[in-house]
Amino acid sequence: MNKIEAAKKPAIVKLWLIKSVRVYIFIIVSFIGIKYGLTFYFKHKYPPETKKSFFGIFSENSHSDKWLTLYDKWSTYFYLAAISAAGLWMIILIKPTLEEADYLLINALKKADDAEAGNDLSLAFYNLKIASSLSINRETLKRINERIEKIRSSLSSSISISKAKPDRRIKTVDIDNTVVKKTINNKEYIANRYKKIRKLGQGGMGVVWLSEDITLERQIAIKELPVRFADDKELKERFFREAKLLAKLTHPNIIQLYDIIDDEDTLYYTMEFVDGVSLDKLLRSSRPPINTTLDYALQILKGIEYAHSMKIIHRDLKPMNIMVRKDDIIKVADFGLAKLVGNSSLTIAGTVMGSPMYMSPEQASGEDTDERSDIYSFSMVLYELVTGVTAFAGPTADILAKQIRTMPPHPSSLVTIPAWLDEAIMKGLAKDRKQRYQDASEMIEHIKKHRSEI
Amino acid sequence: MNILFIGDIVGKPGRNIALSLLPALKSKYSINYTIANGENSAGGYGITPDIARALLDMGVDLITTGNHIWEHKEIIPYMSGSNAVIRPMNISPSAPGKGYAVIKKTGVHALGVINLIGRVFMPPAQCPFHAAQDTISRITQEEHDLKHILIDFHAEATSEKQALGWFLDGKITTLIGTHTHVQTSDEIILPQGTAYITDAGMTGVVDGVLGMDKEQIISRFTTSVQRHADVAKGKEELQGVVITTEDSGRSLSIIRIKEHL
Repeated sequence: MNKIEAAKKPAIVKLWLIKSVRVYIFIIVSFIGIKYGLTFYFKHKYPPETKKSFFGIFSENSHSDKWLTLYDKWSTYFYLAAISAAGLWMIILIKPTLEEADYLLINALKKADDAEAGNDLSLAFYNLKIASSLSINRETLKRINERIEKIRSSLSSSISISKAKPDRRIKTVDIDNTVVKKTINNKEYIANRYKKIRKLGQGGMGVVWLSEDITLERQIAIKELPVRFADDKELKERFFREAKLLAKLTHPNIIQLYDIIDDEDTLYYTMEFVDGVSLDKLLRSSRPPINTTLDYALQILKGIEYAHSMKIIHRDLKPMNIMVRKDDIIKVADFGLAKLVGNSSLTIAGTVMGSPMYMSPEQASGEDTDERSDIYSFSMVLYELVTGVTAFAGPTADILAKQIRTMPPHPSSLVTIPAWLDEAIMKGLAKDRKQRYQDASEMIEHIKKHRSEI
Repeated sequence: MNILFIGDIVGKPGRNIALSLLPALKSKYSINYTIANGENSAGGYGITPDIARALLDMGVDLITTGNHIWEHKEIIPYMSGSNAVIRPMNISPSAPGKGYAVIKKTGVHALGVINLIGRVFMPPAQCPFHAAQDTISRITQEEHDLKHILIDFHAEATSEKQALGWFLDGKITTLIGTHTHVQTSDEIILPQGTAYITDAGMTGVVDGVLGMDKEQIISRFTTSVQRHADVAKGKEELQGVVITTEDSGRSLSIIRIKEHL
C-alpha cells in the first residue's frame, strides 16, 4: 500500500491514531517519570543548601545553581529521547495499520458482495462506502465507486434521466406532488419472443423471470444479468464463449441452458424452468428423511459427475443453486457461472468468489480449484441436509478461516446417522483434497454400496 | 421543527425502500430529525450492529426498538457503546444500553427520544406510565432547555397506547405507537399539544402479514407450529409520520405518510 496515498485517507489516519493509543500513554508516563525521577535523583545527589540570615532566626532552603543546570540539561535529553522513541514507535505502527486497513477493506468488500448477492442494497451500500474510505488503490477505488454509483442510481429517488440505460425508461411516481423517479426495466417482451410472466428470484447474478416462449409455447426461466455484463466488451465475449460450453451440458440433473440473448444492451440467458423449490428453501422448512436425503445426494452427484466428465466445474455449489422439482427430481443450476464471474474483471483483488459457507479450503485460500472442490462443497450441502444446520456459523471472515483450518463437528454428534454416512461426509470435507473422494463417481459408489444398510 | 418517524423497518425490503425514499422525504418535508424503529430490520427479527450502522449511514438520526431487540446477540455489546440505538426504558434497569437519548443539531432545538414498551399482550415490563413520567423528569433535569420530547411506545393494545397518549398530553411533543405494523388513521393533536398516533405502521413489504411471508404465517395459524417466518417479497412501502412542532415543544401537525416506489 502506498503510504502517501494512505495519508490522504482520513479513515486510515484515524485508524493509525487509534492504534497509537499506547504511544500516548508512553509519552505521558515517560514525561511524568522523567520529571519526578530526575527531581528525586538530583535532590538526593545535591541536597538543598540552608541559608541563615538575620541572627540565625530565619533560614531558607534553596537549590544550588549546579542542581538546576544539571536538571535542565538532563531533562531536555530525556524528553527528547522519549519523543524520539514515541515517534519511532508511531512510524513502526504504520505497517500494521495499513495491514489492518487492508483487512478491513477486504472484509467490507466481502460483506458488500454478500449483501449485494442477497439484494440487500442498504448493507451493500454501507459496506461499499466503508471500503471506499479505506481503499488507496486507484483501480480498486474506481471500481468500488462505480458500484456505489450503480446502487445509488438504482435506488436514488433523484436520479437524472440522462443516467438511465437506453433500454430502461424512467417511471415517475407522484408522491403528494413530489415526483420521485426511478429506473426500472419494465420490458414485457425480451427479444420479441419471451414474455415475462413473473419474477422468480433475484440475486447477485441478476434477476430470474418466469417467461413464456411464445414461439414454442412453453414456459422457460430467463436470467437477466446485471447491466455491468453488457458494459464490458471483453467480459461479454467470454460470456458467449463459456455459454457455448455450458450449452453442451445435457443431463436430467442439470438445468438445461437454452439460449443466450443480447437484447438492447442487456444480456439474458434462457433455461429450463423448474417447477419446484430450491433446496435452500426446502431446508428452511424441514429436514428431509434420510432416504430422501440420499436420493437427493445421488442425483446431485450424478449431475456433478456428468459436468466433470465434460471438464466443467461448478465452483459455487450450494443449496440455493439446487432445485427440487415437485416430483423430487433434482436440478443443479448455474454450472460454470462462478468461473465466468470469478475470472472476470468484476472481481476486486483480494476477494474470493463463491459462497463462504460451502467454499472449499483451496477456494477460500485463493488457490486453483478442481473437481475435488465441488466434492467439498457438495459434502457441505450434504452435511446441512443430514443435520439441518450448516457446518460452520459466524461472520464471513471467520467462516473462511474455518473452511481453511477447522474440521466441523461430526454429523453423528448432532443427529443419529449410520457411521458410514458420517465417515463419507467427513471424507468429503477433508482439508487436503488428496484425502477426499477423488471424483463424484467414487462417492456415488460409496453411497450406493452402503445405502442398503438403512 | 419537522420530525420524521419511520414505522418498524422490516427486513431488507424495508431497509432498501428507506434508503431509496429517505432523501426525497427529507427534502420534501424539510426534516430536521429522522427517527426510525429498527427492531425488525434484521430479517424481520431484531437488529444487528451492521444494520444499525447502515440505517444511521442512510440518514436516520436515532433508532428505537422493542421486544425483538435482543434477537441477535451481537447487538448487546453494541448497545452498551452506542447512543444511536435505544431500547425500551421500562425493561430491566440492568439491561444493556439506554432507554432514552437526546439528539442535537445546530440551528434547531434538541430532541429527546424515549422508548417504552407496553404491558398488555407483551413480555413482562415495568409500568410504562410511571416509567414515562420518571424518564421525562430525568431527561429534563439533564437537559434544562429540552422542550421537544418524542416517545416511541412499542405496544400491542390500542387502549394502552391511547391511555398513555392522554396521560402525557402536554408533557411531551409526540407519542407514536409502534409494534402492530398496521398504520392507524387516528392521528390527532391532543388538547394540550401532544401529537398522537396509535401506530405509525411499517416499512417493508405490504403484500404479506405484517411484512412477513403470508404463506408461512398462514401455516403458523393453521398448523399451530410456531417458528420464525421469512420476510415477505412483493410491494414495498415506507410508512410513518411527520410531526411539525413549534418552539414551545407543542405539536402543530401530524401527517401520516405511506410511500412506495
